[in-house]
Amino acid sequence: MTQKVATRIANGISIKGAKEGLVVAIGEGPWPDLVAQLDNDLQRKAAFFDGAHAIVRVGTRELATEELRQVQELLSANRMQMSGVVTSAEKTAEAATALDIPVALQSDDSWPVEAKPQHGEEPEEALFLKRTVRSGQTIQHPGHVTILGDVNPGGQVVAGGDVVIWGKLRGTVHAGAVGDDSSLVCALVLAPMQLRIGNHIARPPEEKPRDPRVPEIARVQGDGIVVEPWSMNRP
Amino acid sequence: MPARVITITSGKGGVGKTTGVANLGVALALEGQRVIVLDADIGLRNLDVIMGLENRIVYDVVDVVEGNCRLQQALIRDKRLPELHLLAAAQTRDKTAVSPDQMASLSNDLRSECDFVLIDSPAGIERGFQNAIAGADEAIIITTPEVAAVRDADRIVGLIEAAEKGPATLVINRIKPDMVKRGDMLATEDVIEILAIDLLGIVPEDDNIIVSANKGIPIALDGQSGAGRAFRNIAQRILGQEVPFMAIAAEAGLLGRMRRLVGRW
Repeated sequence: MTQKVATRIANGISIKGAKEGLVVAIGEGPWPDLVAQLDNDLQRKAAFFDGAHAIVRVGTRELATEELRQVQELLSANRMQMSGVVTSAEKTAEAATALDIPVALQSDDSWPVEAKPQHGEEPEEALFLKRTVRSGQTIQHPGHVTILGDVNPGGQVVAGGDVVIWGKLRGTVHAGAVGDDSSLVCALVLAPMQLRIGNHIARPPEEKPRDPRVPEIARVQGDGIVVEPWSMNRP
Repeated sequence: MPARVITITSGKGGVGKTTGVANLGVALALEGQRVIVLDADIGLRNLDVIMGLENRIVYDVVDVVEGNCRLQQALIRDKRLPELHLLAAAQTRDKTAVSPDQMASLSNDLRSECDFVLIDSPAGIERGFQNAIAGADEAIIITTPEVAAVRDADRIVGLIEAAEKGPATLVINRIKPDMVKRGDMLATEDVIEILAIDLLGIVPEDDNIIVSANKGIPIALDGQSGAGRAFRNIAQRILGQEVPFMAIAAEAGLLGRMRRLVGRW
C-alpha cells in the first residue's frame, strides 16, 4: 500500500496517475495561486492526459461551490473530467454534491507530497501489453509500460514512468513524460526513431544506423541521454 | 458456397493494388472461378482502364447504391473471360458518395452472383479505405519492398486488425532481385519481419506491366511473363492449393541465390 505523509507543502498541486485514474491533489496556499498553477500544469501536460478521468483530493481544505466549479472548468477546458472528490471537509463535500459530483468524505487528511512522481516511491499501476505496437498506434499510460512485442516505426509509446520493450524498439518512445528525467527506457533491440526521457530528446546518429546486438538501457545523464548495454552487475 | 469477399489494400498509393485486383481476377477466372472485381476508388477509378473496359461502362457502383439501376445492369462482362465481371467506380463523384454500410450491403448482394469478390481499395486510411473493407471477409495487403510502403502497410495491418477483418495476408510486389542482392532493396524477410503477417506471394518487377496497363490487357493472360506467372501462382494459393512460391531470378547465374528470397515456407 502507498505510504502517505501528512506534510504540507508550499507548492500545492500534484497530478499523478494511480490505479483509480488521475489524482489531482490540491494542497495549501492561496486559492488564486493554486488555480493558476493547476491551469499551468494541466496545459503543459494536456496532450498526455487527454480524456482522462480525474479524482480531486482536497484534504481538509474548505471549498465553496464556485471554487470547486473553477477546478471542474479547468479540467474540462483541458479535455479531462472530474469524476470524484475526496475530502475530509464537510463544506467541500457539500460543494461537490451541489455540482453533482460523487464525493468521498474521509478523515484522512493526507495527500501525496511530491509535485512530480518520484521515481521508485509510489508504485503506479504498470501497463503490460502482449502485442506489437504498429505504425500509427499510440500507447499512453501514466505509469510504467512493459510491452512483450515490437514497437514498429511509426508506433508510439508515451509513459509517465519507465518503458521496457521486450522486443524491437523501432518507433518513438517517451518515458517520464510528465517531466521525470529519472525514467528509463530498456529494449531487447534499442533502435528507436526518436527517444525522449523527461524533458530530453535524442535521435540515432545519422552516419551509422543503430544495429545493437545486445539489450540496452537508455537514461538521462547530465545534459543528454546515454545508452548502455545491459549488464547483470548494474543495480 | 457463398463467395469470398477479399479487399486488396495497401495504405501507400501506387504499389499495385489495382494491378493486383485485375490480374488476380483474371488468374482466378482462368482457374474456372466466377469473379466480380469491384472498384472502390470512387472519383479516381482505374480498374476499368487496367482491364480495358472503360468504354463499356454505363452504370457504376454509385448508380447501384443509389438505386438508379439493377445490379445486373452495372456488371460489365470481361472481353476475354465470360466468368469475370467488373463493377466500376464512379468517376464524377467522390468517396462520400457511398457509406461503409452501403458497401457492406452491396458486398452481400454480390456474394450470390459469384465465387470471389475482389475489392480494389483506394490508397489512404480515410473514408475510401473504410468503404473498401466494410464488406470484406478477408484482406490482402500489397506492398513494395520499400521503407515508406512498409510503414504505411504496417498502419493498415493495425487498422484491419482493429476492424476485426484480420489476419491479413501479404503480397510483396515489384521485387528487383539484383537490388536485393546488392543490399539496395529490402528482402522479403525484412518486410515480413516488420509486418509479421503470412506471406501470400511475391511478384517481380516486370516492364510488361506498364505495357499491359496501357493497353488494358491484364498481364496474367500471358503465361510467359514473370509478373503474369506470379499472379497465377498467387491465385492458386488463394484457392488453397499448396504451390511453392515463385522463384524470382535476375540472370541465370543468380538463380541459386535468388531461391533464398523465396523463403522457408
